[in-house]
Amino acid sequence: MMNLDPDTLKLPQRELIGQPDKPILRLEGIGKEYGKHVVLDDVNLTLKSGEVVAIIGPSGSGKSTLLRCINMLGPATRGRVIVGDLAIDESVPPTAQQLTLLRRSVGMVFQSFNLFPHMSVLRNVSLPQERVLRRSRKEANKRSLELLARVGLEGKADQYPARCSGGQQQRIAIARALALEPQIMLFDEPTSALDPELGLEVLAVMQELARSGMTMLVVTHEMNFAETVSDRVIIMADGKVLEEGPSKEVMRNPQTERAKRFLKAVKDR
Amino acid sequence: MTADMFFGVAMGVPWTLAVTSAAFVLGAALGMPLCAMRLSKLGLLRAIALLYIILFRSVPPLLWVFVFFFGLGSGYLPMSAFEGVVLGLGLITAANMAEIYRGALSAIHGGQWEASQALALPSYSTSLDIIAPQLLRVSLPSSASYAVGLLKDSAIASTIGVTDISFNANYIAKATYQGLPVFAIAALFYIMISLPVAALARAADQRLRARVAL
Repeated sequence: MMNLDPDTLKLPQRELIGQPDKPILRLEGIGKEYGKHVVLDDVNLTLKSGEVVAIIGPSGSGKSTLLRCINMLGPATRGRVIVGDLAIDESVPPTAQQLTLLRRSVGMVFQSFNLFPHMSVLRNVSLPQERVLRRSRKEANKRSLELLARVGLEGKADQYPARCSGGQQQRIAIARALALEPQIMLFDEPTSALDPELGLEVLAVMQELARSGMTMLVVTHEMNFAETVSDRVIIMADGKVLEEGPSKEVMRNPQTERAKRFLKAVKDR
Repeated sequence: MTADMFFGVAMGVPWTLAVTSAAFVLGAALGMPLCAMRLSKLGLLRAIALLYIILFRSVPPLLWVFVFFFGLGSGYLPMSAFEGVVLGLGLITAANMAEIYRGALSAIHGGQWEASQALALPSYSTSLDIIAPQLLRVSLPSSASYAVGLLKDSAIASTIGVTDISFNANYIAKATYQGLPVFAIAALFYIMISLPVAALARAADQRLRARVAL
């Protein structure tokens, strides 16, 4: 089983990119429209190295769309994404090299896990390392086993994803993304497809990751995670950032009417 | 019914198997790029693929085999009867397999491409490591039933002189004037080949399904 006691977890201190407190991710004036429908409206955001930021808000507010702009899975129509030294204009098609650099720096975890069903758990984590980082099979497997151990699943290495619970699959997906040594991790509602108990084991892994110094941007409906694990919370609605600030402040004392309504709705249940 | 009849027809089994498997392998391989063209962003490639598929699916197999063997074969591109029938049936199979693959593609979850992109996998790896293996698995049942159909179509080979099951049966029937038992034996051979193919495909499908549960 997973070890959730922080004192006994061996946390490899991550090498932070640049100085701490230096912005590692910056979004400048991100906008996106489908025809006349505005999905994102001038979103600006800065993440410092090691920071954990949660994005919450009602469905259809553009949270996931924003996340997908960052790694260009669904590019925006306006604005810039800056990751480390790499600046990408969202409105023009990126070069293949830019895309590869960007996606190597930014790991992503999906709501639906998206593990490769025809490969063993170990292959799922090792294959991208071999193809993207050009690691040998042996090196890749060694790293994969370390990461699977970190998410508490080294015993599952030889299983196929279909034999794993949803929570286990999501933890494997996290290990797979971490294996490419990203500077930032994006989480797109990582627990929304899981029942509460299984969601908890994923949240525990994410909490450990946050403590180890990983920079994380998390779209979530887990209000407790937003309040207690993340450093900052962003509330979005209708494609705009409504509120942004230290987690407890935003969660307990929202300023706008729309944010108050949303938080009331999610807390009073 | 004599042993001679039985063995005479049996002599054709290797040729029937050879024609069927060669045409199927050719078609299964060519079907992949054809399917990719059919779904290409480039209009010209899409048009070429669509034209190919329509052309090869709406003209009877017999006619295509004649076109290749008697048409191209006489002068332009000399070929044996075996080559002629494999080319004709193989190119038709490619058109049908492309459509089978296209159907199977829609059964693969879009998240597979997204995950590949997010992991920065190069596109060759996405195609070969991620999509192609799942595509083959999803299309297995349809491919197998097409292969059984192709086995029966392979009898066309007998019309241009490949000594397969049908050719031998026809020959022996004419020589002995005992059509009924001879053709019954031929039918038996076709059944004995298609049943195991279907059973194997079902077993493989179930095994893979249990393991990956797409």
